[in-house]
Amino acid sequence: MNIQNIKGIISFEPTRNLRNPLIIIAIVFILVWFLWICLYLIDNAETIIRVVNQSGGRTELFIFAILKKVLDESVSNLLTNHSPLLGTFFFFSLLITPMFGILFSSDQTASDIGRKHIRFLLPRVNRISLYLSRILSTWIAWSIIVLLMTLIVTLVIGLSRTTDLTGPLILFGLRIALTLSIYGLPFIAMMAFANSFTSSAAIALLLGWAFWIITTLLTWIGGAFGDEYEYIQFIFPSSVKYYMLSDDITVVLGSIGLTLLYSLVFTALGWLIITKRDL
Amino acid sequence: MNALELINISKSYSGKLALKDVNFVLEEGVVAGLVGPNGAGKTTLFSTIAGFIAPDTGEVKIYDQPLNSLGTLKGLLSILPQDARFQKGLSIRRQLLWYSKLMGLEDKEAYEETERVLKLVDLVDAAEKEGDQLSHGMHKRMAVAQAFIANPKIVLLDEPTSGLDPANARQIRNMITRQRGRQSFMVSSHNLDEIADLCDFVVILDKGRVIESSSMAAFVKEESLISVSVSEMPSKSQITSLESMDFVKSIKVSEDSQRLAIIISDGYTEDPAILASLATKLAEIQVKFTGMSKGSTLEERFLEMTE
Repeated sequence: MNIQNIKGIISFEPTRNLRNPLIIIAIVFILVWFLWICLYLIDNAETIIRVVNQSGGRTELFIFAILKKVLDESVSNLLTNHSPLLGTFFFFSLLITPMFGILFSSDQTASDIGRKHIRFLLPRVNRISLYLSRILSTWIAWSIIVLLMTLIVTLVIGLSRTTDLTGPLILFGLRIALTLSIYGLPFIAMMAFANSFTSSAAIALLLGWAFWIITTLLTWIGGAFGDEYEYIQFIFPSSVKYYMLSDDITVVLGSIGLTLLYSLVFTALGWLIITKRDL
Repeated sequence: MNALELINISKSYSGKLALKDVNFVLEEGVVAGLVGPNGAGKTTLFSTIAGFIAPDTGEVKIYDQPLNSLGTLKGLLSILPQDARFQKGLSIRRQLLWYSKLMGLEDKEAYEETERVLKLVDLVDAAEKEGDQLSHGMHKRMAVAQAFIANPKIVLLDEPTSGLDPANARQIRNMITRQRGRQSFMVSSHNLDEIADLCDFVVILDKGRVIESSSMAAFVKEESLISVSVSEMPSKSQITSLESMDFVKSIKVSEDSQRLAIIISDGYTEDPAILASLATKLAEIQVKFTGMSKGSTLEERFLEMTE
């Protein structure tokens, strides 16, 4: 691992990413999503606030309210203790992060391996530097996008309801951005792992989404048989999302720790493969 | 000094042998040719040296350092891989500039180096194109250009002139010739005349094994053999007459009866007069010959060894 090499690769990533069709599609989807949620929250602001105030957050406003977990105490607290609009945005954004995170990070090394372009790179940078640089640069790009989008949503929500643009709202916005940034990391690491053994970004993407969908289905099916089967969900990093909504700092720190653990495990698995496989 | 050393390299894919106990040394500043029939393992060997694939057994050493222990090959080794393609959506100039920076060059140096290698392959005007927009020949030259960035000590070129027109092929050969002695090269090609002209050393690979590695002069037996091209097969008595000459050790007739390989006795290998003596004798015994040269061609030796 060489810091100069890592810097050399990361500095080129914006140029590379902005010419990568999959990443462009991911950015477009993310922007459309943020625009939609922004408009949805503004249009339904009065209703959301009224219902939250009446029900103490145990709202069935949302499509996802059919999920048992939506009625979880942490979600209720999130909506009642903070801006209900931004809280709603936070909850939905966490739900959608696996999909966008997987899409956004689906081409880290796969197309380089597929086109054998990696053979132009390897005499200049070693495998580990390349692998880690791609994880890091993808995470930086992801973090910049969620930070900007969250700040915009926060400002739009605050300015559309002038009394709401207060210090606590902005701090809550920053917390959301930071949480989304950290929560994206295990999916990026998971896709780095998927990239390490495929030579196609599309296959890596399908594997990532398939893993997400299968784990979710297994969790639901398992949940029907008994609470103990809910532990199936911990195969996939999205299991930490409800803990990230908590206002209890120890719970949040625990969830961040678990997130980092997922990230480390996926990174290590990919590391083992990329250092051994024929390129 | 040894630039590159391969020690007992073996590699197989799904039980199929690709390389078996490959050993050879590339000395610093030498241009070595790697030749072998299709499927002999040349590309696998290049990929092993460059670290793209790991050998099942054996070790690659670069300047006496095991490849595995080197953090990076930067500045030590570059390669023209046979099947690599440039990144999509980016101009070649931009990619070469990036490679230059990855070699540790600062912005200005990297820019100058990019332009230098583009000029080397005479493709400055095409540098704004993307890799996929280039013709096969242009792509190959661009790929050669990237291998020359920052003049690494060892350059591996896997079929650098295949698919190139004669002028561009000569340009690539001239690039290698100019750097002879300053960089070490290992070049694979099916053009054996090219390898014979370019290389000081030759490695013959067949079915994954090195069947010969020696200096080019020794391999083509420059000092101990005279090839005589004949337009008509000499008679037995003519052959006997030639064999009676002092410096002739033995004579072999090629399968097509177009060539005599005259092996020179040890004491005469450096005698400058033997070609003239032989020509006189051939004329005297009325053998119809069209030419003669010292040594075999690489092609002849290669076919002799691999058929």
